[in-house]
Amino acid sequence: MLGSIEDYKAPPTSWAKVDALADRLRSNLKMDQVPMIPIVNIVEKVLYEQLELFEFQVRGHREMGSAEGLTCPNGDFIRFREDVYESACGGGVRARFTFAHELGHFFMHTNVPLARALPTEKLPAYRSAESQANRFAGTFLMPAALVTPFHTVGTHYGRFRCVKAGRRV
Amino acid sequence: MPTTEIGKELRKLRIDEEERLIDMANRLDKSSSFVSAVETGGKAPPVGFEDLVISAYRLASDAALVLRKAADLSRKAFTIQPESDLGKEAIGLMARRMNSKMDALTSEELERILSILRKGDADVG
Repeated sequence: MLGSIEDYKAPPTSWAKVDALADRLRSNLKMDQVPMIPIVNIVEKVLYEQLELFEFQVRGHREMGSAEGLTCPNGDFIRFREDVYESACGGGVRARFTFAHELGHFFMHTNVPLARALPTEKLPAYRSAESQANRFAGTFLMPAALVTPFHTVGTHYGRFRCVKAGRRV
Repeated sequence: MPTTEIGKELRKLRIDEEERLIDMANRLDKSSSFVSAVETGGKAPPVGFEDLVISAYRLASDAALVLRKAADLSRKAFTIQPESDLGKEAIGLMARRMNSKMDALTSEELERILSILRKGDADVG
């Protein structure tokens, strides 16, 4: 999420464009053929420590409340709740998704005009920052190129450590 | 990227040791949110934190000195913990004197004081 539990109106983006961004990032990291992407190391060791794209922060429940992750709208930092970080380090599926979701916010929703959606407003997915970040996370963790018809949902889960997108973070 | 001097040192140490934040936190027996907050300037390093890092990572004297300096530069307040009432009175008086004096000292005078103190540290160590 970008700083609040509410959704934000983001610039309209097609799923094809979101998928292309996620695939390009995987490709740039030379991870095209790796099913279970090391998402924590990518965020912490590569993007933060090596490339210094943002500050990687971990904070406790007291500070984060119900937010599992948070991306600064200016792109200054990405922050995770401690239990989420520790779960992601241990390969936790939901936590890995949260990491990829925040990465989606970082690459798509920092330094762009965003407008807070009204609580009663149901945004179309292509305008919803949360839906876009979910889509990015799903594609980044489980790219179409690596999904084969010869695997079941269970074996995909094992290979990618990812569940289908469809939750709010 | 880290906003504090201690943050730069912690990050460098982690890169050198090829550790993640969680590994450093486990090594220091602290929570990962605590180490992250110290690294990114959310918290000042508490008393003794640098000693913990020096001992956990077995830092040699040069590296230890750099870390101590970084920890001091990242602090806005310093804590002295006298045990007796006399000690508390003396420290209180000294702190008030130092507080008013320190701002009045020139950087040359402060440098001279630092060099005397560093020499003293070397004698002790």
